[in-house]
Amino acid sequence: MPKQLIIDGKEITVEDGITLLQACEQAGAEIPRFCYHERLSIAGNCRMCLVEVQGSPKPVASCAMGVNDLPPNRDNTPKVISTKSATVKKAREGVMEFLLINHPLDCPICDQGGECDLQDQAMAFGAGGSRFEENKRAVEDKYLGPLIKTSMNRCIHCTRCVRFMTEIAGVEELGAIGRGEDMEITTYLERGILSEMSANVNDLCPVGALTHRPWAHNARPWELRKTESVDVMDAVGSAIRIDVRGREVMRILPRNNDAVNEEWISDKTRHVADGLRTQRLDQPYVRKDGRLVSASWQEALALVAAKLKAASGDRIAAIAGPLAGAEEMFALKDLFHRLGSTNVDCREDGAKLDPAAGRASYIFNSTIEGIEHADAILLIGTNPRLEAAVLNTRIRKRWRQGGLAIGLIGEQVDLTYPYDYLGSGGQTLRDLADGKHAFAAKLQAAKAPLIIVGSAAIARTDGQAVLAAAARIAVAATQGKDPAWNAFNVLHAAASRVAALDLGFVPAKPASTGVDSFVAAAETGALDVLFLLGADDIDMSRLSKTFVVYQGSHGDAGAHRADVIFPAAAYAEKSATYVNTEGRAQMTAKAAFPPGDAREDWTIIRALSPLVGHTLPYDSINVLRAGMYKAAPALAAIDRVAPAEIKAVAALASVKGTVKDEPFRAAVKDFYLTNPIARASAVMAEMSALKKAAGKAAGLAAAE
Amino acid sequence: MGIFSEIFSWWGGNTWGTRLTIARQGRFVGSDSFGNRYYEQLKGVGPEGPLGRLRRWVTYTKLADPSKVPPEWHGWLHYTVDTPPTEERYVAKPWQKPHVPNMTGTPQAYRPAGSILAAGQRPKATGDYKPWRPD
Amino acid sequence: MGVRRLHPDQPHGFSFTPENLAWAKETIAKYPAGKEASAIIPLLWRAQEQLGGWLSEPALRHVADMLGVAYIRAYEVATFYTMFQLSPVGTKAHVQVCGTTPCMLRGAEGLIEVCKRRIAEHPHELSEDGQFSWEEVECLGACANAPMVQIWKDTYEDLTPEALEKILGAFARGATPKVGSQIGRKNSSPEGAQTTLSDPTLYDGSKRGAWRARFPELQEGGAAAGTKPVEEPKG
Repeated sequence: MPKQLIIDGKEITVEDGITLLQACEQAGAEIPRFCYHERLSIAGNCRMCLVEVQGSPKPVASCAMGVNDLPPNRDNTPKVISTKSATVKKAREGVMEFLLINHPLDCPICDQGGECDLQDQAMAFGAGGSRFEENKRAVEDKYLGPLIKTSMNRCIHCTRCVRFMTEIAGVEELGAIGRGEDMEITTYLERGILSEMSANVNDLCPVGALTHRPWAHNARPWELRKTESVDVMDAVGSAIRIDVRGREVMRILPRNNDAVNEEWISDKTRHVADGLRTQRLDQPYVRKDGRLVSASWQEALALVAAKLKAASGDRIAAIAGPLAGAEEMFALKDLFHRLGSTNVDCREDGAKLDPAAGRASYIFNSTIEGIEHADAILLIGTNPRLEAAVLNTRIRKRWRQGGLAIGLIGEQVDLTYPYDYLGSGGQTLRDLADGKHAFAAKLQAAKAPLIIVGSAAIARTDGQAVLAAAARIAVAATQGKDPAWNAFNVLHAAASRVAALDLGFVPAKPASTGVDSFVAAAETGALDVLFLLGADDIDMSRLSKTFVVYQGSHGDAGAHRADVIFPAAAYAEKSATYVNTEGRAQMTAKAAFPPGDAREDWTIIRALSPLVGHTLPYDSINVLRAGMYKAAPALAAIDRVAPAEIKAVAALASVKGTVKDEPFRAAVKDFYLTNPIARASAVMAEMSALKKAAGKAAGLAAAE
Repeated sequence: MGIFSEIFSWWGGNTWGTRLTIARQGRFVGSDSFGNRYYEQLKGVGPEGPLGRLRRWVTYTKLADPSKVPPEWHGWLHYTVDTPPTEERYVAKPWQKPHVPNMTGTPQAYRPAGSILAAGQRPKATGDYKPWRPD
Repeated sequence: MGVRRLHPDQPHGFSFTPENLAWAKETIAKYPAGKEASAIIPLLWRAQEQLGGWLSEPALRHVADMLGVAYIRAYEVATFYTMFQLSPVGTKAHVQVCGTTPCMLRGAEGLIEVCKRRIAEHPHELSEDGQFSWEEVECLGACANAPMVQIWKDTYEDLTPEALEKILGAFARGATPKVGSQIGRKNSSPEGAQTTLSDPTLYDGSKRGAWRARFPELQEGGAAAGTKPVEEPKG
């Protein structure tokens, strides 16, 4: 039943079940708060959100008071609530004074300075001066791992970090020990936190107690230029904000996007920033006498153009890597088609996905937001915690609401929520597809079942059969239910993949060609030129008999093998379109300039095109995009996701093939080192080493 | 400085005007290590300085350059202190560097390390990156 | 109450004795499935009793493992509640001196002096022979018999420094001193004899209605005034 309230003299009708704080916000009143956070449970321990409620003898903590819990007035008139009265002002000043008793006045050397809730609210709601003359409390700093720098004197005990780690990240590591003034936030005996989401506590911390260790004392928030962009570390496409000073990316922070990442990002997304300034390709290279020597753009482009012109269309090929944007893939495909070659492929891992089967066959149809409506989830050959950490927190969020059955086929790992372990390999999947497995009944009973296929499961030789089996399960599970609900989902690991499939960045028929056949041809010398667009995850040792062109931002496996290197911009340095695993097209923004002679990817391909005699007809990114949108209309719907034709799933289900027995492997083995940028990052390397060491220690403990 | 340049130029030490004024109104207070000479107005002679204070003058050796005034005299000259360094036992602090006039515009001008006009390595700055190099 | 943290020297390993293990399983079974974590306080308490009055770090982990809760949760509970001792206590007696206002006014500070002299300079420190330790605690609910101390599960009340010395001496000898009031009164009844409600007219009915004498306006209104409410009822 909606409830009437009068807040600061404004009559307002609020819906049931919300808190008084939310009601006040709906009425346009600003309520200061520290412990309250929309996405965490309510603690009510900072007392900053006090408001005056008519009939209540004392101010009320509005975050912990539901509007339903307000006792009604005798004459049933709406409750009068004041957020601006003298009582409220005095109460807030009192609370603020208590909070500041033990808070050090070290704002000038605090990394939170300038974006600190306590600073802002002390200015807005605090008293002018201090009456406290005693000594302040001193707390030892805690070790919480390489990502979180602690300065525990500053802690005001809001417990946001504890609630985040317990509720969202699902890693019960942080806690508050002691009581009263001696309360301290710590891990058990100061073990570092090993969670893919741990650095989010730094954003949540309303003071400077938890700050980012990798960026400690590097920059001030007011001297940074903020650019809203999109992450490409995984296929979730989290909304990020890139903060730049001069031409250096200083830090990456999350942005709110309820449809994708809410307001969390993974540690890799955040702390890969230092990878953007190491191992950078900043000048073209040409291999002369077996050695890579720096060259001019003209020289490098002319050499590649000569090689491409000399080769026939079937003896050249291009492979796009995980970080390639849609624009450059479109341009590269266009160029290769003009050269008479359809040998382009984006499925670096060999995934058996075919864009001809329809968009629904390769995207996360239910959408990430749709996870919250699911009541049964089947994970096939995937470890979402590593492949899409933010998406995994969505599943955990849904699980916490209760009534969710989760089944997993694949590696038995800790996903931060319990699940039914169904089996490791093809046998279980076959049983499920035939409806013989017990979990099939749960999917049948579910109103909104969800089948999630990992990208590694469809990269196997029997990938097509796995995909078909998953589609069969999805079709069977949704039989006779809401026809708009598409239960079939592919969870990609590469940010470029869906855009590439939308663009048809795959070889034309026969279907047997692809990355594997290109590499095989290169090995036998049947390929003259192999163009790697940021593709590093192929076996470079097999490419010795071909001319390799590498275009990318970082010196990784591809650059070491390359005969010509085109230095290109990384994702923070160009405006490019990426489509996330749900099929949501999003655009990155140019936050900084590429280093040295590096150029934006599409301009390199455009510059190459006149030299091979097929000038690409676009001189600006807008003209290119117009062409791209014509070729793949789905890319034009920026930030939106249109439901794909559900018929494609039914068609996919009818594909014949047998799933082999071998166990499923996850696509991501080392969360912190999945792409060239992450591999260049010292922070990621440290986290990876730490995780390995922790894994070893756990193994030893288990053996004990 | 010769008498000729004192009459016809104003940039080298005294001019005949200041010599005349100082001779009539001033008394010699002291000189610093650069050879600059400092004077103070005699009481009751000539117009008073700002705030009713006695005027204080400096005449330079060779080129007239106010940055040649060392800090101890600078304080006295600008009424920061009442006693000139010659009348107290002035000792420079151990952390004080010897005074150098402003060298900007001369070959001795200050160049930070790593400047294209100086040798040395510049310190790390925003925007630096580590490029990849083959082998 | 000082900062409560784990003791730097910890014993190696912990496991419940068979009897305690059976008791623990029974206790866990009292809670509904999925809510086993609620048994954490009784289990920690039993572990503390088994360890002779203090809680070790291996015991924390053992209990956390038994209940399937994270170690940090057990750590939080153990450091929050002052009834859990985090450093070793005396083998013969751990003296908990009440220092809250009533006891303080009646001389708890003298008792603390005794503890400081006889046991150790600081609370939670073992005496040199390791047999005694002491701490100051908040109200133990025997204010009528202040000052008082609690040793193990018994309280010793109406203390003087001398009486406390005697009690400690008895513990040192291995004897069991008298529990409760040390000046011979029963529970918290008045010292010596009853001092209130001793007027016999209270019990013979002669005081009935005597309270009216204090309200002259009632006497004017006559007998009816007794039933009529003084205040007019509100609208």
